[in-house]
Amino acid sequence: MNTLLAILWKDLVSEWRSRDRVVAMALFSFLVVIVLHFALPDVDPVEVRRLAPGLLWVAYVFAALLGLNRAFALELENEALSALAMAPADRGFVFLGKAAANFVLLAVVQFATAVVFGLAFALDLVPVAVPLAGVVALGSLGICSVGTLFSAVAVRTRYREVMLPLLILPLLVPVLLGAVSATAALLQGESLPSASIQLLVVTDAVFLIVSFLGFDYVLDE
Amino acid sequence: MTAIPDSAIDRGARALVLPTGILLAVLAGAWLAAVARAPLDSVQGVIQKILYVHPPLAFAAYAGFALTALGGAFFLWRGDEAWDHLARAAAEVGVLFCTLVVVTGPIWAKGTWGRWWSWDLRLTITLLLWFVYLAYLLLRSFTEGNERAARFAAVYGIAGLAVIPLNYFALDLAGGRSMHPENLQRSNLGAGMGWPFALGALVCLVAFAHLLARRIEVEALRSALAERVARAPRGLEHG
Amino acid sequence: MGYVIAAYAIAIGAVGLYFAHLVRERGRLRRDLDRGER
Repeated sequence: MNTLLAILWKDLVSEWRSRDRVVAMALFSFLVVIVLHFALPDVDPVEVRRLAPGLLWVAYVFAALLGLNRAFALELENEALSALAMAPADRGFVFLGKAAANFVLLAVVQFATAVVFGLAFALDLVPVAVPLAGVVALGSLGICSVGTLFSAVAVRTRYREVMLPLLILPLLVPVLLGAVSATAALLQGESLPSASIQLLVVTDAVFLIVSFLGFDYVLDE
Repeated sequence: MTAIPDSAIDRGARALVLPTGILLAVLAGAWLAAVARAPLDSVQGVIQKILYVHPPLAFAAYAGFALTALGGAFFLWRGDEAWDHLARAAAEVGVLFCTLVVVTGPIWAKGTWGRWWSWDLRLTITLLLWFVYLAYLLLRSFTEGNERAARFAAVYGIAGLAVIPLNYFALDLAGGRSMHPENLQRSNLGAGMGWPFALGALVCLVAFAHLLARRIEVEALRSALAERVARAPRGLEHG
Repeated sequence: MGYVIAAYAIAIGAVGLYFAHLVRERGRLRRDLDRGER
């Protein structure tokens, strides 16, 4: 447990000092939102409300991929990957710490992006802010768990920036479908569909378990 | 015959090549005869006969991925390289069958519905599986170091397998709310259609087994050759 | 009818091609291994 907190703290502190990853993720995300806005011809508000959930999650996925690609970059540059592997505690907690750090950074960016998104598409997200935050958290949990696991994998391959999306996008389909359908329901003023939430919860649980156990085999130096 | 470092899996594969090959030849003949003789579907006509090859290919594709994940899991657990041979071979043969599913599906769709693609649940899941297969193989190619590649691939294989049932429920969910009203109806197998379908399934599975056995054999030979080269004072001269 | 033929031909053809590739590969590897024995 201490390892988890230690890694989480270390990552967040180093990010706070340089802030480069968060800023890059946020800027990229805003740009995606703006591009998406221009990509849609002048559509009426009802259409926008229908399309918005998917678009929002497109922006979120792009931001997540950018952040995850850099998740182990610092360790790679400083040849510290082996140090992670030699941590005396269960490597699973190293994973949890890393994933938690990614989750926190992504959450910050997602919040800012939601604000920009609401402005760009003239959507008032405040009334659904709390359930939306819950849905986004569930989605990000899934993204950050397999994302962190395979980020450690991708960082040791050729074409690492391409490798990560290639690996995790097919895996993220259930997360995205659940998240988008739940977000869509919220934006339409409906209550959260239980099927979507169940899908998200089950997927998150499966991904967390697989990633927690798998990380052990991915770090061996 | 040259001495090759052996394990039960490699030996088993080599032993299975001949029997599966013979079985395949016999079954394939019976299957094609049954397909030719099968009655025409009243609704779809002759195009329905693709049903005797398209779903059977899918059975093999899914069996392939299950073996890939299983081989990877055992490799992680036991550390025996032979399990990785199984995993890699199953992935290669499996991606072949998966590609064929994704190719024959649209052929059937075009002939039946006049459109090449439809986000039919099963076809979409198979498409996603195809992407996972491809990512698996690319991961193996782009990772430096055989042992590391095997480990990475094993973890990915397990994750990929876990996501198949998740995708099933996810796409079911999306299908319910989707804007696509058409759904490819699975035509029910009428009288006289049981045999060509069952034979098709058998043929595809035996074909998969045969190709898998040969592929494992090749992998064992490659591994032996690589070991020989590593141990030799000078490299082998290739003709 | 053409569609049916195309589907079967592609399936059987692809399997056949891969089969041929594996047979060739096995032959090549066996030769290389045998050559190394001497």
